[in-house]
Order: sequence, then C-alpha cells, then structure tokens
Amino acid sequence: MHRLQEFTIGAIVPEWDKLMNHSRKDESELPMMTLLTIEALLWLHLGVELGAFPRRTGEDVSRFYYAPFFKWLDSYNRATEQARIGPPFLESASYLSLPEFARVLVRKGINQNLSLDDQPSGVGERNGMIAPFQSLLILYSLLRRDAAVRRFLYGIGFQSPDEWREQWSRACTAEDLFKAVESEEASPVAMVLAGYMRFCEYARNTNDVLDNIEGLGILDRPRFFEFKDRVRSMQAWRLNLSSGATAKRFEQVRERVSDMIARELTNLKLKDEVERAQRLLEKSLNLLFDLEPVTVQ
Amino acid sequence: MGYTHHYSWFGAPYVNSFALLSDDPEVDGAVVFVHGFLGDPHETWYAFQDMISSHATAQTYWSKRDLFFFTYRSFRNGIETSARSLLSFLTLIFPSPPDDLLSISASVSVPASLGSLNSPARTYSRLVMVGHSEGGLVIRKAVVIAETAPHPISKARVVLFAPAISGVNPAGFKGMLMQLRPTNWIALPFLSDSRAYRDMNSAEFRDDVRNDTLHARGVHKEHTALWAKLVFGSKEDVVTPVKWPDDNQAPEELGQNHLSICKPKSKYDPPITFIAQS
Repeated sequence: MHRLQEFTIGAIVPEWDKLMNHSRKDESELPMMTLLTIEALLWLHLGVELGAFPRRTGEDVSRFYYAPFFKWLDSYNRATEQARIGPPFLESASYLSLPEFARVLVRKGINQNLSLDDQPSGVGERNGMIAPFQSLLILYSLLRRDAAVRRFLYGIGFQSPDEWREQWSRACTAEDLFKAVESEEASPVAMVLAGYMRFCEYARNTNDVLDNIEGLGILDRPRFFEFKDRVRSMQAWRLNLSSGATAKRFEQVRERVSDMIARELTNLKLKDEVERAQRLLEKSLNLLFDLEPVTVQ
Repeated sequence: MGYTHHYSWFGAPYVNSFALLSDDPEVDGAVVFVHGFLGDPHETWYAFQDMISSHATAQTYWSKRDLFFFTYRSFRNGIETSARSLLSFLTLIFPSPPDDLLSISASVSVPASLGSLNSPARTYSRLVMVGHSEGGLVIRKAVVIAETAPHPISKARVVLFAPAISGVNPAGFKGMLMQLRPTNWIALPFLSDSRAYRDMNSAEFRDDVRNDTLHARGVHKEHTALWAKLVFGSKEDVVTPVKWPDDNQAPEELGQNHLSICKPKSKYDPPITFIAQS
C-alpha cells in the first residue's frame, strides 16, 4: 500500500466517517472530532509539500473527503451559533488554538477554494525528509488509534464539568492504571491517566524523530526549525492550556499520576528514581508543547 | 533511481504491527524485527526506519527488502506463546505478504487515483529475523518450535541485538524499565506477574531452548536460523552478554548499552550494516 493510501484509510477516513454519520449521543465529542479531522488535513497538506504524498492524488483525497467535511463544518458552525450556548465553533477557544495557517486553510475550505499549495511550511519538497516524515506519520497514526489518549484529550479538553467531576472522583489503583496501559480496558479515570502517560510518550518519541532529523543534517537549520515549528503547531490544540478548565484538569491529571508513581516506586524501594521519573514525564510534554506555567484557579 | 518504503498497518490479530514496503520492483527479501520486553515496534526501531533510505547500503540492500515490525504481548505472554504468534505472523507474510497490506480493499470508497497507488505483489526468497532483548529469545524459541514441521523461519538469517538468551540481571532490568517509556514504570510492581519475565529469568527454560537448538543443529545443518549473529554493547547491564556455542558474536560495541545497541544514529551506523552483512 502506498503511504498516502494508508494515511487516508487509517488517519482520515475513521474520524471523517464518524463525523459524517454521527448520532445525537456523539454530540459532546463533535468539537474534538472536528479538530481531529482538521489536523489530519494539516498532515496531508504537509506531506504533499514535502513530496511524501503525490500532489495530484493528495488534491483528489482533499476534494473527496474535505469538500463534504467543510460543508458540514459550515452548517455545524451555524448550528452552534444559533444554539447560543457558547461561542460558535469557529470562534471557540478550542478552534482558535489551531495555528493561523490552519485557520486560513479552513476558511478557504469553507469557501470552497482550498488548495494544498496554500500556506506552505517553507520546507518544500525534500527526498531526505520522506522517511522521517513517515516515522512521524506512524507515531501520529498510533496516537490516533489509542483509546486511552482519546479519552485523556476528551476529558481535559471537551468533557462537561459535571461528567468530569463525577468521573474524576472515582478511585483508581496502580493496577487499574496498568490494566488501562496494557489492554485499554479500564475505568474512564484509569484511561485518562494512562492516556496522559501515553501522550507524554508520543511527545517524547516525536521529539526523538525530530532530533534524528537534526542529527542526520537533512535540513539546514532555518528549514529544520520551520519544519519543527509546523509539526508542533499542528498539534498544539491538543493541549490548549490557555483554557482555564483544561489547564486545571491537566494539572489534576499530572498530580494524580505523579503521586501514583511516587507511591509505587517508593514501595519498590526505588525512591531515588521518583524525582527522575517525574522530571522525565514532565519534560516529555515540554519537548513538543510549549507548556506555559499553569495557574490553577 | 531512489526507492522508498511505504508504511502499512496489519489488522487483527497483529494490530500495531506494521510493514515498510519497498517500491523497488526488484524487492525479494523480508526483514522481520522483533522488539523486546514492553517495547514497541516503533520506539525500538524508529532509527532504522529513518535511516534505511539515506544510508550507504540503501540502494544495494534496503531497497530490495521489505521490513516488518512485529509486535506481541511482551509482558503478559510467555516466550513460547509469543514465539508461536511470531511463527503465525511469518506464515502470513512469507513468501508473499497478504493483499490487504498491498492494496486498498475494493469495498472501501476512495478517489480513483488513490486506488491506482496499490503496491504490486511480491515474492520473497530471503528472510532475515532481527531481535532485540526478549525478542531474541522469542526468535530462538520460534526457530526450535519450527523444527517439528517445515517453516520458512528455519532458513532465515538471525541477527540479535543484546538478546536475553543467557539470563537477565534483575537490577539492570528494573533500571532499564525506568529508562523506557513512562507507561512501563507502572509495570514494575507487577513484574512477577509477567510470564515473559519469568521465562527470561528461568535457567531451565533457557537451557531447554538452547539444548533444543544445539540438538537440531546436528540434524539440520542447512537450517541457518539455528545459528545467530549477535552483538552486545560494552555497557550492557540488563542481560548476560554470552552467546551460545558456535554463534557468531561480533566484538562488543563500545559505549553502547542495552537500549542504544540497536538504534543507529548519524555517528553510529553498525546496526544497519550488521544486518545488511548478515
């Protein structure tokens, strides 16, 4: 299978399909599903620019899936505007956490004049970048199919306060967490905690690939930083700590995992490792996301 | 002309295993990578994935090979269960990988131009098995299980990085888990529940695999997989760095530890050439 085929059926179609055929019970997830679908477009856009995806077929994929998506998005935005429960989706904090170039692409998509040539990262077509870009795609597709990470992102960014509070008050043992990590079958709170840890791993692995690109000298420094910035900004919406609720929940998750690790490692007489482990966990996310100091209200 | 590899995921029961399929029409070999304890196919081998197209051996070796990254329940399952799963996986991909790895299913509605990118069918005449740590013991167990009935693994070349074939050092093992992924730390309290860990620690289990291997060598000298090419790092402190009789052990890699031994970098390419020269 060509990597564009795998990307399309693995990263675009599942979320797109869920979104286009959603039912009432999915409504609370619609904002996250929409952002996931937009993010997939950004990966497609970058892959075409680098030459990892063939341009003409990339444009076909964009038209085939994203023309109906943008029509849907336009009507969804109107519906959220008319409902007057909060700001319309395209003015919501979660949407505005997408970078400017992404919002330009979305605007053009809604106006039916999207082109994958618009808003390039500036890196351009690079043969040497195809393999590492593919490594990033592999990580991204693993993240996309990870039920625990999805639960974590939904929990901290999109879940209603009542639901979150109810879920968060439940107990979670180290064994529950281990089950969530191992088999993705666990209570919602264990899944959130496991999702946080997996998300840290994703950030660390992605950063390793970026370091490898730098080490191999595939790009000159200015282009490397353009690339790194593009990869980071495409995903920044996942940890939108400018939202007070998200920042507070994120801190709660971080503290609970940190306490659990401290307790378990101390029980195992690995007390010296506690600080190192906590630092590593914290540093992982900092590698990919600019985490502003969080002030919990 | 430069050829590249394209990733493709396996479905159940090999979810999270994936392939990198070469678009070189002369592809004729498969290299199967087996990660270690609580590892995953990407984290363990990503450096290979990044380097195979830019390394000096890219056109002479790697473009002619498809790469398969096998994953398994390396904590929960015992070595024999994982070895049997590996054998089933190999039967699926060798000598020809399944259609759904090469092409989009006709039942999925996609743009016509996307459908036209399907990869051509291919037949392999060569197989290389590459294992790291627990993956090394899994491969060796699979090789001896395969002695009971014809199986393509028997004639494979076997390349092992820091394999857990001669015992593990519990203190080093725990230290390694702390260096691995954060989710692995939470496995530490449950280490005694791991069948794989028990097998790696069991001299009886390892001796059985070793003795079966040595015995089989006398019966099937043509089964190349009974002999392994292996290497350890000079900073190895997780497994016992000892080969089995008549294995081909390369000189230790200076400065490399249990985890770094199989991760090529711009200034450390022996893992790439080690396989290419197998």
